[in-house]
Amino acid sequence: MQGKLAIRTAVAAFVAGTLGFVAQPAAAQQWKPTKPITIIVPWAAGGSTDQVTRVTAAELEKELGQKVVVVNQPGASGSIGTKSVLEGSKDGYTWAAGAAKDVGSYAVSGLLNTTANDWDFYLTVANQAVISVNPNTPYKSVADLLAAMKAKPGQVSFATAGVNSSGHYGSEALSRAAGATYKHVSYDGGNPAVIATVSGETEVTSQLGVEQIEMIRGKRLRPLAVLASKPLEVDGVAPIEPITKTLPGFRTEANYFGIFVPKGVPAEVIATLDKIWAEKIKNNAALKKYSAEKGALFGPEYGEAAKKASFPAIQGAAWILQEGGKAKVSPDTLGIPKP
Amino acid sequence: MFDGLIGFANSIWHFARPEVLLFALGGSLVGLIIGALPGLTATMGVALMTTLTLKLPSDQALLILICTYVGAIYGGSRSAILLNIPGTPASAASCLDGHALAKQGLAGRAMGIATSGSILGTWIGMFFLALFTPILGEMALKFGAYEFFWLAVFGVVISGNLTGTDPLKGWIAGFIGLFIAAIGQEGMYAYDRFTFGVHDLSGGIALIPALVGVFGFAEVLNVMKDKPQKFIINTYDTVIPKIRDVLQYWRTVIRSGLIGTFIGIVPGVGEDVAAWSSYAAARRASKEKEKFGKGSVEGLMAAETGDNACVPGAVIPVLTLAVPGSAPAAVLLAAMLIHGVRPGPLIMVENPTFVYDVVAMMFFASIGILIYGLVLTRLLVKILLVPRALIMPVIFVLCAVGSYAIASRPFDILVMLVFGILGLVMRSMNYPMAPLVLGIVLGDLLDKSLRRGLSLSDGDLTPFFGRPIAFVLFLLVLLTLLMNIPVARRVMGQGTALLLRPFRRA
Amino acid sequence: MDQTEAPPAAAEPAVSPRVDFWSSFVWIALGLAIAAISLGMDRMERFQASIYTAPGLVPGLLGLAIALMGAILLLRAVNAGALRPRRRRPLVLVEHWRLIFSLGLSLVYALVIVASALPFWLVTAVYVTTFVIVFQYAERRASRQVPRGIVVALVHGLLAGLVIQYAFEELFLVRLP
Repeated sequence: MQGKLAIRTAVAAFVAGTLGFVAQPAAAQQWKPTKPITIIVPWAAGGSTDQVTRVTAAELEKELGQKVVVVNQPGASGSIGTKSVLEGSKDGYTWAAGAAKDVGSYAVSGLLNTTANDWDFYLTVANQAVISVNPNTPYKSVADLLAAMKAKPGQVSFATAGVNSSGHYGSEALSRAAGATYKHVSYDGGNPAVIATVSGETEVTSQLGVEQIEMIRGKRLRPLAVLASKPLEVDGVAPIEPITKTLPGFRTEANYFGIFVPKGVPAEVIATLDKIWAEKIKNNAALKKYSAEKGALFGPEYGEAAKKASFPAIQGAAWILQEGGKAKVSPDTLGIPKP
Repeated sequence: MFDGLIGFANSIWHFARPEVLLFALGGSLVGLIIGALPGLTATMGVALMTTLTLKLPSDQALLILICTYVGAIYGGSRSAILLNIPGTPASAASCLDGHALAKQGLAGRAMGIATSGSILGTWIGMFFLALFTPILGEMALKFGAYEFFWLAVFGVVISGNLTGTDPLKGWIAGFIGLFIAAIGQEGMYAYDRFTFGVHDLSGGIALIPALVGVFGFAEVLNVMKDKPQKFIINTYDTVIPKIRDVLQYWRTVIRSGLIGTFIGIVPGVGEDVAAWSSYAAARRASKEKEKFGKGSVEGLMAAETGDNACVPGAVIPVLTLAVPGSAPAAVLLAAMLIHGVRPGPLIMVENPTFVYDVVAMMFFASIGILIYGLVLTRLLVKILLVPRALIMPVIFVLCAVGSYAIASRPFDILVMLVFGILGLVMRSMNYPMAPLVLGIVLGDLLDKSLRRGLSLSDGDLTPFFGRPIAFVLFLLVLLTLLMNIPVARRVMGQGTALLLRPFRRA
Repeated sequence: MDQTEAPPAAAEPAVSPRVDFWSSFVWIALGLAIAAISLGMDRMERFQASIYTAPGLVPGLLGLAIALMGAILLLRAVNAGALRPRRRRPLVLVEHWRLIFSLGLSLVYALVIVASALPFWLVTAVYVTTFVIVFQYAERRASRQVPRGIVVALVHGLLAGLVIQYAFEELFLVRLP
């Protein structure tokens, strides 16, 4: 009885397999998820990673025909959630989200032993840091601000989301480029840092544009410059001038956000995602709208192009850690040369 | 004023369609269930429903989310009353008097009080949301590092003072909680504190597993260690909320509603602090202080009104500043962004009807609470009649699954077990657990606010006492401490009530 | 727990001053240990950070506060007569079998669902059934309903396992351990 059943099953499997193979070789690449997919956001709900990931998840749901659940697993600068994806089952149903520069530099800070090579990147947007001040401060331009920073060393206060954050990266880069010092005040996240500047607790914030844009629109913050080489244009706001206008030598790099799939998942998962990114995400209306409204740059990259696009930011983040004395491993040994 | 009323009426009319009302009822029910299950919180409920409602039109999706949020905060009181296990951190204060009433055979009445308190709290919060959103949103900006520091200290001190009979032990438990929050990577330099090289500890001790451990698992063991007792249900118990309770304690209801809304507006503190603060104020003002903790209707009413009033309060800064006033409100903010609503300082200019839509959603949520409060209570009271030996293992399974469900980390189950045993031992020595949990909630805020405040002022202590709100909070902390030293208590006597008055009206 | 003399002021569960006496030592030791570890923490001077943002600042203060409160508790316990000689009650483990059994069974269950690959509903059903049978045994035997009790326990356990698994995986979209 059992033997018979086993034979029958084997035959059925064989027939199904051959038929599938013969009938449509391309279909073997099409991945049809049979249970909900989990995207682990290693940051708290409502933050910039969470927002863009939820928009992306909604779009992927339409393409995959399966629920895409976003789970927040915050802690240890995003390394705990990322670790659980890296060490979890590689069946293709668990993905990570976040900033490429974080995944690429965890090994440097020693938080988690992983590099960009352990992942396939599916990028959605690039965020840029904006230098903004409370409207009651006397600073009308970057030149004013830099003059004040030099006149009162260590007194002008900058709000950021902490030493690992994009905002701190921005304030460090600015102060080094200008050869000035400032008072660093860290907050629980991008939004609280921005609010502290709106309320006047701190004078300046250097957080991401996405986190500031509503306040800029509402005239509660005065934007001085975007840390990029091109002006930032957002609906309903006068273009924000690039930092390179005041400091021509300022090195800028795009800080890409997206979804990261660990290496080792079935090939058809990667093939399907590549296809979705190439055909659908590339022209996705929801993500474009999100970028235009929030002051991000739409950046639907995948595969090698994604790695290339995000590398400068990884490089920058890794070396800021190294120079600040926070690196456990030198970026050199991980194949990240000094920019 | 009238603009607000007309806007509200329009929004109600806009939603008054059968299928939309069905969504509202469904959302409230899901919230209620999630809130009542230990470990599953309002935050998780709203996040789950965000995923499930992606395809609906934005107004209907947000209606469901708000109903889930309100329902979950209300649902937490069910398990607090029936099982002495707060379903969400917000209901810890409701355990004290709610479960005491249930033990007296008045579970139905207790749930009725919680229902009316929750509805009235929601309405008071709604009132402020509808009429004063632009002004109140600005209040969130008045809270800087110095104020947050005192707020955190205040939370632990009042909770330590209120639970149990021994304030010293309450405060010890509270400070242990504050210390537990310090474990793991701190927020300024990502420096590992007290982790001793364990990577899982760098993420810190998560609140929910700890809560589920000290209340859920410890309660399971606590019940099982004694011989089974039969619960009684008094014949004169009633499941219909009594109008008389509300009329008799109208001052408590209004005071708690105001405190709850206010705490809701302040970012970083949520429903739990709102419930404790309302409870503390109610006890301070009560004519029957001795009943608190032994089944006081007034105490339960205060806690439940306070935590539900916090919900609309927490939404106010979401709308005007895009700053969530509580953790579930943060998910709500993310959901609004997905659905194309752009909260921020311009919302009253760009999208004024949206504010009234939110008020209408809150209103439907309160109707949901009312319906379930009337329909389900009779059924829920029956839970008390089921032998404990049947319920407790299931509760433990839910504790384990609930701790795991939040972040899918096996480590969290371990945390739950350790805190369960710790909770059992500490409770047997008369240390209350609520301050410990509140300490874990507030520890991070205390830590960062103190360090941020000192670095902003370059070590100068005067802003901690010099700014008006900070000074009031400092006075409240000082008075609470002094009231427990017999000599000081006698000297102060009536004077305290006089000094506390401005805060109650705040 | 203890039925010795009631402590003066406390009305609720009587805790002997002796218990407070010993627990106060735990708090003092813990508080001082926290303070000592905090003192040894990195001060982050290389970031040109002010000393007030040092990670050890707040835990250090908390540690001192815990130690201080422990000391007050110690004094109070001594005043309440913690040092007065007292009859020792031998600890009889059998008296506490209910606690020990529920604790042990629950710990084993939690470890099994985390560590093994057995299906969740099965482990849960076994746990719940065992729990119910053991704790209802005395009562059931008294009313001569042992077989009925076992059936109830089995059905209850299976239902609990299956319903919880279904609700969490299908309705709440949560992965189970």
